[in-house]
Amino acid sequence: MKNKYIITLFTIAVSLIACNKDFLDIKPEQSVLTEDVFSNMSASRATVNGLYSLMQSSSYYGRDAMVIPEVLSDNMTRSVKTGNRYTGMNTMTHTATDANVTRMWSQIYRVVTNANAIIANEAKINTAASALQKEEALQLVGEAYAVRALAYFDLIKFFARPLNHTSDGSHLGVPLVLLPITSISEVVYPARNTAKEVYDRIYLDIEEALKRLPASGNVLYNGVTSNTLQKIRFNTFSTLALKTRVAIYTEDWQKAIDASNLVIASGKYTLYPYGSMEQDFRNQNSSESIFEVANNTNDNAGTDSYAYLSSQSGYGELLGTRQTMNSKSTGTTLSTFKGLYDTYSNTDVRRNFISLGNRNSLGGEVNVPLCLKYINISTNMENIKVIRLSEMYLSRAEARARLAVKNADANSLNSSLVDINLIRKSRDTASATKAFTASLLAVPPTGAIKATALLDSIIVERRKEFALEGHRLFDLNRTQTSYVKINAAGNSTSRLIQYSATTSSYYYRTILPIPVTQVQNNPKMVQNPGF
Amino acid sequence: MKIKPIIILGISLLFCLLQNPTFAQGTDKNESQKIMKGTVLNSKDNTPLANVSIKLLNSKKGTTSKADGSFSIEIKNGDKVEFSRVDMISKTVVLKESNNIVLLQESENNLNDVLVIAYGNQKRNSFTGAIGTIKNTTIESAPNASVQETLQGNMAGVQSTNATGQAGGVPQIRIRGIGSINASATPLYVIDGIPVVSGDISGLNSNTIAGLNANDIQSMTVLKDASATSLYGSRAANGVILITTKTGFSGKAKINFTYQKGYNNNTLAPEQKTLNTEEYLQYYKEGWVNSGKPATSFDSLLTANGINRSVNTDWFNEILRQGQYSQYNLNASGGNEKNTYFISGSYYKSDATTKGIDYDKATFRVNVNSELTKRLNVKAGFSGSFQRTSNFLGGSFFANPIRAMYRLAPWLPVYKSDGTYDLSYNSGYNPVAVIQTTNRNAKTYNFSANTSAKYEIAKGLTFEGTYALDFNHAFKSIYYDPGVGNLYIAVGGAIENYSQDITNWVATNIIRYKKEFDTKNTFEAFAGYEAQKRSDVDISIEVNGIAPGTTTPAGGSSPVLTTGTGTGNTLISKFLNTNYTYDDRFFVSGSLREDASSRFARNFRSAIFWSAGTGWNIHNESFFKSNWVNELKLRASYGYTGNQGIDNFESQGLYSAGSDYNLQSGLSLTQLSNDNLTWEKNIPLNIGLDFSLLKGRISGSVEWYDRTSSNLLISQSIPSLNGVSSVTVNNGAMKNSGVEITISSVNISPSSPKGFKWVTDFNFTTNRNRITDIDSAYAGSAAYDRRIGNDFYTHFQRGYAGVNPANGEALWYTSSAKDSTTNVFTTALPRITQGSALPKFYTGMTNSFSYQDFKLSFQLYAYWGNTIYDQYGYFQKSDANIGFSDQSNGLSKYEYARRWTTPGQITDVPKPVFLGTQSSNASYESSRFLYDGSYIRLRDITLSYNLPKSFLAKAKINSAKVYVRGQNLYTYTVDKRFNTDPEVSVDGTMSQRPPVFSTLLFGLDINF
Repeated sequence: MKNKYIITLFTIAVSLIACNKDFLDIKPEQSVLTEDVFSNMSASRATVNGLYSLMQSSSYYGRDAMVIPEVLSDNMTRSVKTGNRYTGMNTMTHTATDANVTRMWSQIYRVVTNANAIIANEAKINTAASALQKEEALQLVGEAYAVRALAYFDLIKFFARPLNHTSDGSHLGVPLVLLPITSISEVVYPARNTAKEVYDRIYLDIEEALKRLPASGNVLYNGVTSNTLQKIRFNTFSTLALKTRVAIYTEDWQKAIDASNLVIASGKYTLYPYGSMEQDFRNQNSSESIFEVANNTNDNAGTDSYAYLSSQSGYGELLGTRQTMNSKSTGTTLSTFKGLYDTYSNTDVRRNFISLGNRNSLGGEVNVPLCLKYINISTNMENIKVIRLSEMYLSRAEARARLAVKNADANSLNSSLVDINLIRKSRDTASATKAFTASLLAVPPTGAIKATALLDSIIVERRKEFALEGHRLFDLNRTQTSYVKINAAGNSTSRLIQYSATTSSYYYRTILPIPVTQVQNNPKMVQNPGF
Repeated sequence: MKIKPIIILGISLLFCLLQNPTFAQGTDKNESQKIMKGTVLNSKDNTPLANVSIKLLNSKKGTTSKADGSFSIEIKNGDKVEFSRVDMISKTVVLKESNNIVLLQESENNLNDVLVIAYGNQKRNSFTGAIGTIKNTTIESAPNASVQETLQGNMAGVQSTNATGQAGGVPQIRIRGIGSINASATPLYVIDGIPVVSGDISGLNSNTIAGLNANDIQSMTVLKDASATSLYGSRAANGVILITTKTGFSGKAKINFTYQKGYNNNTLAPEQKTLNTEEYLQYYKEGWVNSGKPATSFDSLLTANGINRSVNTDWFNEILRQGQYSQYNLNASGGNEKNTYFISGSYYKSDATTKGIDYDKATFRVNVNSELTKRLNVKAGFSGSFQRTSNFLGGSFFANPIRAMYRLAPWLPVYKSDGTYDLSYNSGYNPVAVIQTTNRNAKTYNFSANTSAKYEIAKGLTFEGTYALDFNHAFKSIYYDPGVGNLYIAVGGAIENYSQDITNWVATNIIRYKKEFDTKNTFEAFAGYEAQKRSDVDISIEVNGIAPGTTTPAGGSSPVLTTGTGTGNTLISKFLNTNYTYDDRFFVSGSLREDASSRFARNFRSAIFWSAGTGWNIHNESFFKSNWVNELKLRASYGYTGNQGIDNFESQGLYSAGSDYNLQSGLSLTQLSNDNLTWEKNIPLNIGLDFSLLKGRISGSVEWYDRTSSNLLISQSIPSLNGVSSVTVNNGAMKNSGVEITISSVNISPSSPKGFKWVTDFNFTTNRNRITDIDSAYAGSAAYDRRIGNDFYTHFQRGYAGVNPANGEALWYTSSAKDSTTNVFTTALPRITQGSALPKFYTGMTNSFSYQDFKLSFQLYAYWGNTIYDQYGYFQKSDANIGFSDQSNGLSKYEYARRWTTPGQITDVPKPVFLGTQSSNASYESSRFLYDGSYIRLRDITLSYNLPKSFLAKAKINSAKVYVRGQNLYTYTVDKRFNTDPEVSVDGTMSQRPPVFSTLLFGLDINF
């Protein structure tokens, strides 16, 4: 009978352990379950940090969002001594299978979907915030709106024709995904919205952000104003600066003027002094910077960084264009080509970012413009400049000039000249004595140029100012300008990209294709024409 | 919460049986009894056999032999006595003399073998499942770092391959084909009953199982079908490898010492090497002329490109070497009637033939066994191992010396004129400098302890409790010199440290019951409960800016990474196994296991796995009369097992840390939840026939298996605008089927113990893998064509059609029928289904010859009908298209000799064209780089000599053996274009890995 007791005891022991349900409930240790994320303020704050962190990726602001618009334009070409980075884009033969394209699409949408979750959980975030944190809770959601606006703006620039491609913006934009997706039952297979719908949403998001962000321009952290975060997270003024940029792309000139006025009038930002621009640009939280993506040593993208790609101590395979590269081997030149290096006068401080040098590789190019805006490959402590004060002046100058031409408004023209001359003088000592003068007249008085020629000068000034910063392709696209792409620095044929003002004859590869996988796994996804 | 009905059922069943009146029945006493004495000897060498079970056939009473082989047993006249031991062929004799000599022969797949199976032992006779076993004699002296490697060629149904020539790396083991897509396809390893942690835990291709000392292993059993594996439930789908370590035998202490010393050599043939400077420049000169330039201007091209033709670096020579090999092992065993022990220690070292890839290990083990009372038996085992491994970055990294070996031009000097490393090429990663300065090494430690108690509650009813800890620690330290490699020069060098602890607890309680109702009916059952918990923690540190002379993270000036993670999983299981035997003719077995795992969604957390098997001993039927067929057994099994081999939190929606910003913590969504995620299902069917012919001269088995895997855990691609680009779901099915043949044959049997003997062991396996269901959204590899009906590793590239004999241009197919070609790569048919990376069959044959004190044995191994793709082929074979690059010398001498030079020449190597665009480009992925992977290898050859006893007696040595042994000494490959060893990863990729090498050694084996 003793045996029976043993067995009974054993059976009980077994069932007791079996009843221990906790034994099977194990929680992840370096992740948070989706349902737990917005239940406290520090986790909510971390999700907003997550948004900016995703922007650091080499597939977004860490590299590709800066490099692709340059390498697809007349500003940049790739060395013959190289790995296989941007091969397709450099020769304008990029296809829908291009890995950089696929990664960029996915990365920007990761930013969007993470922002969606923050926006959708606004009430929960607010509830979890203490009284002291309520304003910050509001700000966090405001930031999510601003980040989403920027993300959609970037998506539509890269993956759709510019808004003026059709008169009513009815051509294909990108799909608008606005609701959070946390479970496989919520996965969506959406169609592309029109370009206008996307731009409308961008404006809506900007307004929603402005409603929530502290009007002072402060950024709150744990209930307290943080000075160090003002430029590396969205605040009221960087959101207004974004609005200025979007307005230039949608040709809402007055909107651009109004928004930029607020940014400039805030007094929070000052232009780099002539003498220290080169160094100041590479500094963190520099005086002119309105919004930048922080890069600390911990965010080091190593060989995937923009700096590693640029620096001659790294891959060093990005080169600026130069007039002498124009069809060197074939002997034919294309008169419409203007090399980036040659746009600068020798007194222009910005030429230091593109100085001549030799490729650090046997058989590499000599005496070619090297790309030097981001070069710190040891610590990577160079924040990526997304919006700078100079852009506000140049955008306002452009908007004022456009309105001047449109409305034959001489006052507008004069205020435009003030803006453009301010930037020219602060960058180039020679310009200080050669201020632009312009006239609305068909034949301007001596010494002055026509207003329309002034507009061209403003675009050239943007090229000089924002070289290597990811603006050039989009300025060409939105102004429907033809250009010449140099596809190898000196020993191959150049390529003339035909891009006339008529939208019917545009070159389709001046934007990116929808990644082939995204067309294949989503029946509603329509590819961009040509790809 | 739920007390599972199985347990209740099982235990109630036991109670019912307890009530059975026959339970307490004793044995009849007989008057005419007498004591018989004798000695059991091994027929091979007349050495005494200890611990042989000696039982009266009718009453099952018995004893065991002592260390000197002696025994005494009480019998009555005419009683048949059975002598058995796990590794010997059982023998039934009628003892007559006063001093009997019983010779037992070592077993070769005999129905009387006692098999080590899931949670116990069973005679092959009554077992209904499919298993394979390897004897300790095969495992012990093999110079393999990892015991799994010994499976290669020694067992049907087990595909074993070394993906790299790094000793101690993870061998790839696939039992009966590939049964998983994204979940693990590797078997479960169970050592002395404890499911252990396997695989690489250091990140430097180290392998926890390699921590086992081969000399400690008594047997290795591979469980293949449902009957054999289903007791391991949710981890059984890919088969189970059971490893049993040695225990002591009562008697005088025995000491065994073994020593091996040898060398590892390259198997690469001279024609597999890349070109020397003269050949290279000749090739480029042809390319220059082919591009329309005058030959006279070639020299100025060399000057312009800075090529020094007086340099002729042999990169194979700079990077490869002869590796040292040695092994020492010492063990002692013994004990008395009640207590036995086994103690061992070993040291093993095998340095690869690639400079700087080194491996060594040290192990110890103590196994003790004590019979405390007649009913209570306790066992304890404790073992430790220390492994040290070092290697380099692999694949496409500049710092991979193997990559450099295949690609770097011979005109690049290793050193500059001032004697320092030339860093002007390969992005500063001079491979010799990399080998000299880089230090990437990992230490892997394992400490395992297990205790178990076995208590006999009543006759036939026992309780067994086993509690075990399997603790693994890995420490990796990596040093990249600040002076080598552009990246490390830029950041001032780098040091990385990584440490991981894996703690694996297992508790198992089992109740066993055995009942013989009468002489014909036997029932056996056991029920068990098992809980397992695994916890992992790790820490990672990376710093840049290394202070001169320092080698730890403290020497770094700027931290790059500091992180640590933790994870774990738990499993709770209940199981029941039953066997019923009728008259030694019919066998029925069944098993059930319920597993609940923390890995799966709460709705689908647990499942029941089962098997049913049956066997029929045809030779025991009265109608069966045959003089030459001695044993014939038909068996079949069917069942359901699972695979839970996915990440610990794969079913959960997760926000992951790591998206920090401006030094503040950040979270971002990384995984969508799937509330329905659950196990993969695996349904194996097995039909087998075991036979023994000509009085056991020929024995073996033939098996047919069909394994259906469904509910496959796959990564399914979704539009990435959802924030993630894939989700894990259960979707897809595969089938593996094939035939396994195992035959052992004593071709020539000696008439005297030292006469000439010839034994052949042969095994042969076919496997056909077929995808039977796959979702179109499956996010698979682009390199394989994974359509329904194809096998899982079907290569998929543009079809290369060879060279146009007229002009030397490369051609590709424009139709899958391969009837039209183009010379423009982009207009070729994008992809054509090529061959599969999986072999049509693999087979091993070992022949052993012994005469007097000499023994010669050799094993041939063939792996046949597969294809191998070199994904770096288009970088290596650029046909001069990329001009003078430092990295364009991938052409082997064999291919160089076959290049197109004259019109009309039929070949497959296009002409070189300097800076051409026709034949090669860094994305020209085609079947040009696909090879026939079939090979036959002299896997092993051993010649040994037993030193004469008379000679040894003075030194008080019982026996001693000296031998020479070689592994991989000769390999025949069908495809001569190969530039590496044909033994590559299961997926059929070459990947610029260190090549597998050959070993030649001298060995000494002494028993005191």
